[in-house]
Amino acid sequence: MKVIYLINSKEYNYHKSLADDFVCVTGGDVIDMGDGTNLGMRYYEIEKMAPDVIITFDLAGHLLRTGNDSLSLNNIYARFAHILFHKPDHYGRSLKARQNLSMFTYIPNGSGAETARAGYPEVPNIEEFVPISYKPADDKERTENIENIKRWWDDFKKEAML
Amino acid sequence: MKLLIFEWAAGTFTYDDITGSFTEKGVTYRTVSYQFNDKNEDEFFVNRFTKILKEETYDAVFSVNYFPLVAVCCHDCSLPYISWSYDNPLDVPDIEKTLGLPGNFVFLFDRIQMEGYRKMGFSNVYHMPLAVNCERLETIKPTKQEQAMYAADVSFVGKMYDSMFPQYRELMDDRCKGYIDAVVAAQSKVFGYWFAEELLTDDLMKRINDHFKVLQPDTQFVLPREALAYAVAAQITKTDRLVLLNLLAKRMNVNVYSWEKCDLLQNVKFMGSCDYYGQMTKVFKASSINLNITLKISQSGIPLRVMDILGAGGFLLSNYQPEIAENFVNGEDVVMYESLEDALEKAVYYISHDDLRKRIAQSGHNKTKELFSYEKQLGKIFAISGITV
Repeated sequence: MKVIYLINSKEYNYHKSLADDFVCVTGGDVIDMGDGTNLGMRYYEIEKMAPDVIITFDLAGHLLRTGNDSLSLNNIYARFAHILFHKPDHYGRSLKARQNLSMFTYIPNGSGAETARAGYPEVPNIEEFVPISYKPADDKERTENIENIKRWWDDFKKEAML
Repeated sequence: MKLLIFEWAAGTFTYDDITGSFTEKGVTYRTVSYQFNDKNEDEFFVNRFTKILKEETYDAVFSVNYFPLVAVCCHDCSLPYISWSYDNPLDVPDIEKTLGLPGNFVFLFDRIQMEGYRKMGFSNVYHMPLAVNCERLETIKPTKQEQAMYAADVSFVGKMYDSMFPQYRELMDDRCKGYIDAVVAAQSKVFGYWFAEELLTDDLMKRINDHFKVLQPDTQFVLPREALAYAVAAQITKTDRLVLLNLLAKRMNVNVYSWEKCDLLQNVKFMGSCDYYGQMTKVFKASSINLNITLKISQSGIPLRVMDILGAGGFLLSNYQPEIAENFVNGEDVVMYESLEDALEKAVYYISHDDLRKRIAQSGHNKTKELFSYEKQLGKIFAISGITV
């Protein structure tokens, strides 16, 4: 299964180390949307990789837009997991964009999935995820993180019928 | 009334105008989008989409273009499925397996395409010309800068088509190559009647596919007639577009808006792509002549591009299409050509007759506004589908 990660280290300084932890569990390649590469080129690069799964942190892939301001990622046939490390209102209008039915958006536990589902009608699948610290304090917390990522990954594969 | 709208991938051109019309009518809707890898088989989609259909009560499902798995899900949930296509051909393999499902209401903009399905026994396929939101387009006005940027004697918005024809032809034996070349040559000379597909007989297709097997005995590939017909149509259309644009560019300035630059175009100004909701309308307004060269396989209908040009109030020079002729007066509302030489002559004539051109553009716009609004066309669609708005 080909997995790619879309992160934005320019916007969120914890993305790189967190992606390393996720990749330990799922395998895959990491693409940094904040590295200055032209976004159009970026899109074609992602499309060409033909991934089975695209995992994004904090909606990093939502930077890719079509001429009509729709999400370019909606054009890619894959399963998506958009993992949000902050409460939904942190993301402003990004969460207002219509997401493809194959996209699953994970919000932190206790962020109010029901409220989010009502507030973001264009986001079809909103789920809460097990606590994953985006800034693990020590090795012990990092080990716990990896265990939680494993649990999340199993749940996601089941939900996305992978 | 509440609709579930199925939207393909990142969106379809007419979505905003259609949903705008729904809102004006007080129709509520929810939109779900998806990108298919295989339009006929996708367990994940069927599972999720069915779940959505069961979560709430909907009166019908609506989509731009036809999606077989949406039809299957709607059938399983006993919901009417209305689709209205701006594509021709529909590009759905094995469409006959789902098209006739009870509850399907399939609207096609091309009457001959519709009649083809009717002849196959699909009585739930209807003819419905496309629409345009003239009121919205009237509000779009190019600034002085944009006017200067988009101004041209002739503008063409569209692709050059990457036809598979040369690849298919290369794999044919000499007799088939000679035959298919003759089909292409004959069809190229005829505007307004698509007969090439009739000439792709069962015997020919068998001979072509048998030869593929000779060249590569382990091949699983079988070339369907529809794919070869589309390749022929795309090849002829590509040639028409290249020849006409090059001819025009020798005499006047020509702007081409397309995703990909075509190196075979000479003296033509390549402008890159233009977005549907903003730039395109400005291009049509700022250009003296807007060219439409319909994909050959579309035999009678009024393509979306024609609606877009007329809706914007642009002057239209188009190949002859029967349904344009039925709804508009040639020389009064639009100008149609019957050969590439005719197109060139007409372009040269109208470029030097500003007032006449403007009168024709205005008349074409008025008629389009009167005949082809979304309110009208969607009203007819719902009436035929037996759904009360």
